Amino acid sequence: MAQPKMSTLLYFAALLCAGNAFAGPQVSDVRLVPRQNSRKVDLYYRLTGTNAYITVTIETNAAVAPAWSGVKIPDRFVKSVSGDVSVLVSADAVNEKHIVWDARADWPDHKVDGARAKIEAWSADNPPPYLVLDLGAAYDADATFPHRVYPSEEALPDGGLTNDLYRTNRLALRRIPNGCFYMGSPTNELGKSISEGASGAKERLHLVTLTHDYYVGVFEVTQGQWLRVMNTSPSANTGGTSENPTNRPVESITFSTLRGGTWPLADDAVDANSFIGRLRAKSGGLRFDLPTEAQWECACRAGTLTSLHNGLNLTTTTQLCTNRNPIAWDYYNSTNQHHRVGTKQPNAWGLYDMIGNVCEIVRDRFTVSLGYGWAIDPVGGTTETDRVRKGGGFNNQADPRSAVRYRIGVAAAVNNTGFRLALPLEGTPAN
Amino acid sequence: MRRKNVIAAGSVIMALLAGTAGAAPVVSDVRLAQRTDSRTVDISYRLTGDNAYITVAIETNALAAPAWAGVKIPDSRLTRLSGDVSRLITADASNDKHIVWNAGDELPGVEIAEARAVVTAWSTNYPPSVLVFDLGGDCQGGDYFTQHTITALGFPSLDALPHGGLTNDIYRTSLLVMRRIDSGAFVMGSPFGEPGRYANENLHQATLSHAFYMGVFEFTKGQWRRIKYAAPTPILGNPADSETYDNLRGGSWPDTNDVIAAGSLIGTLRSRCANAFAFDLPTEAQWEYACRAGTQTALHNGKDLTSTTNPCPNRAEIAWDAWTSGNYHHRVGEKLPNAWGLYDMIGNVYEVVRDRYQDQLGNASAVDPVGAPTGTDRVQKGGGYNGKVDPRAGYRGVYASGGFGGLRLAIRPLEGTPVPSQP
Repeated sequence: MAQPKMSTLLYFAALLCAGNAFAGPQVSDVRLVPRQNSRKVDLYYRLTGTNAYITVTIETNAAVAPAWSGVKIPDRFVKSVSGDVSVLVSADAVNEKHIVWDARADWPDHKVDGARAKIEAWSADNPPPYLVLDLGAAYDADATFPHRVYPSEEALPDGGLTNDLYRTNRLALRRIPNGCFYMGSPTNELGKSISEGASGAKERLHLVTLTHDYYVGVFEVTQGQWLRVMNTSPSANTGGTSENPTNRPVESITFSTLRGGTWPLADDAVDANSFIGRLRAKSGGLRFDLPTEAQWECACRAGTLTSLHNGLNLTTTTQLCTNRNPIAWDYYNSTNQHHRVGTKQPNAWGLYDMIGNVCEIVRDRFTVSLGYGWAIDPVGGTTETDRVRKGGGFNNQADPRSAVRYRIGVAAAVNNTGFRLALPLEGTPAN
Repeated sequence: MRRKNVIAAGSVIMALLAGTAGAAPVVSDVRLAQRTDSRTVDISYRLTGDNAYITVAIETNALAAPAWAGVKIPDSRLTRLSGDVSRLITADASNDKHIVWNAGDELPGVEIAEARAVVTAWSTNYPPSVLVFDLGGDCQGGDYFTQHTITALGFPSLDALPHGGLTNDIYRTSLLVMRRIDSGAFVMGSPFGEPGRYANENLHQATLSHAFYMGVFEFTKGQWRRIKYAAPTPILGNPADSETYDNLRGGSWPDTNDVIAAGSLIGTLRSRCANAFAFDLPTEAQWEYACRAGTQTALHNGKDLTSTTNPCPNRAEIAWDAWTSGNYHHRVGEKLPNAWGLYDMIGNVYEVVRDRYQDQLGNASAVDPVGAPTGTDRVQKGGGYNGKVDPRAGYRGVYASGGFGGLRLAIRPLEGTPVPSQP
């Protein structure tokens, strides 16, 4: 009945005495009980071993043990769940955990035969694919930012990403798998020579390996989200009357107020009063950061090798490109301003506005060339103070491409440049 | 001279080996720790004595010193590595080196008791069993040829290759995989009565007194573009073909003054890797030794050819030949490899080797044979996609100048190149 998902846990000779402390999370005794005269369903389970993030799926028409093959109810119909789910649940050998599913709200007029619940436990170092940070309804200096986790995009409650809650009060990130991809652009890519000529930054094609998973924000960080963390409104363009400015990307922010720190010359520490410093402090130690340049481009490409992340190439830099128009706000379709995030089509991994809208500052120090060689977990340059920005912006013609890269000073506030949040999963380096 | 030092985490043996410091690399102070709230494992070590290629293994359920007997995690579960590993690492007496392993991704749901790391240092004249050359991501020209120095990464086995290993086409385009073939003796040629046997395949014993490296795949068009930027067709994972010996190598082998043509494929490859590796074509004997991988049958899978006039099921499993290929060469590495993990040794494209052609190799035992002293024709081996008779381990044919086959790269023995015998 239970389907525990354990992460690898290792203990070593030196820590032999720690013994049982390194057990993985275990789910057992899962029960599904429809309430009398109600369409609510109570789910009970027991969690032992270690604390874990809990997600739930419901299967119907399930055969009995040992086959257990059922038809999974789509995640979008199992969203009205409350109780010991979507959060980091404490292991407890004595007491049962309890989830309530409002089946009426999610699945009106359906009768479910032979339903059973599957409870998945994800250890704290291996969270589920979607992580949503709650920034609160308004700025509050004393607020903490709890987070909830979900097994898929369609499991996001309250209408999912179409709801502007995810552009203002909440901050959604999605997990990106580790792997290998081609970074940069081939010599004959349209627009490359224009970008390289203007900035001097080379887009040399090379293999990159990222050994760890990481989360990347589904949207660019918005003005509303910035306000709830920093209590400032730095953006030059707060929008006209036609769009709510809080759901448009924040811009005119500097690397110093955004992150600071000396990475990669020292560890990944950030300035305490920066956006990311405050997020880390208020979110219970989640080690938020900017994506590295390689993480950014891997997430943007989502498996593609083309100049655009929809598998197509740029066809023109002198007029509206029909391949780019569906996915990006650029010079030819933006009326010279950024727009509500998540209005264009996402890439294959469900990330919006990776190309266009606003340029996005990444963590790396600028360096002219990343070389042609195979790079494993690259950290970028080590000498300059300028940082790198990616993706191109609403006022660019040749730049909105997956490979584009150019510099931005740490104190520069530019009205076409914002950022996107990341959450690496390497854990905290041991001292 | 083999110089390979292995030190286990927390071992006291390091003090003993440190005493031999000099030209040999020495690994010491190996430590392994899991990060807080993470499935990431940090491995640190110190490298002194000499620069070395570093590989790492993890043993579990390890006994304490002095037995140290543990169960090794398979190399295929130890590929998510970054940091000071695989590459040629610079010796440093004062600073730790650092490897990061994503353990959770590779061993989900597994608990490891008493894990310890074994860090192996391989000196430059005895590199690891598998070498991967990073030819670079670009194949479009530009400043690529002046800006990219080809470097080697070392792996302990083919299993240790990341990203799905050889099934991933990066190993047919951006990367070049070579594996070590140890020295040994074998019977070269084919016996009377082998179907399709030609008269020039005299059986005789050949000894190769030095280890060398052979390409796991036939050299591909994609790899060719990354070294020379010219390729007849854009099917980048398929073998290069239709190249002249002078374009491939040139030179006057087996003269002692043999100089490889600077503008040839192999000359360019050598200069692009700063002459750190003596790339070459395999000699005829090296080629057949590597192809047979211990077998004495017509095919390297231990089976004989059943027919030269009808499809041969024994050959169909390992080779693209006239019956299986559709009269065209195929993406390398699709058929079964031989026992040493080499693909397409038989069939697909003919492979030109270094030696000058001579009609008879004789019946006498030979040690490190170098081929005919004179003559313009070279030898080709392995048979091709259009062959009915030729795709056999013992086949040897004439590769005339302006020839029509492909090639497989080798690296000459790193312990020193044998001096060719003079006529």
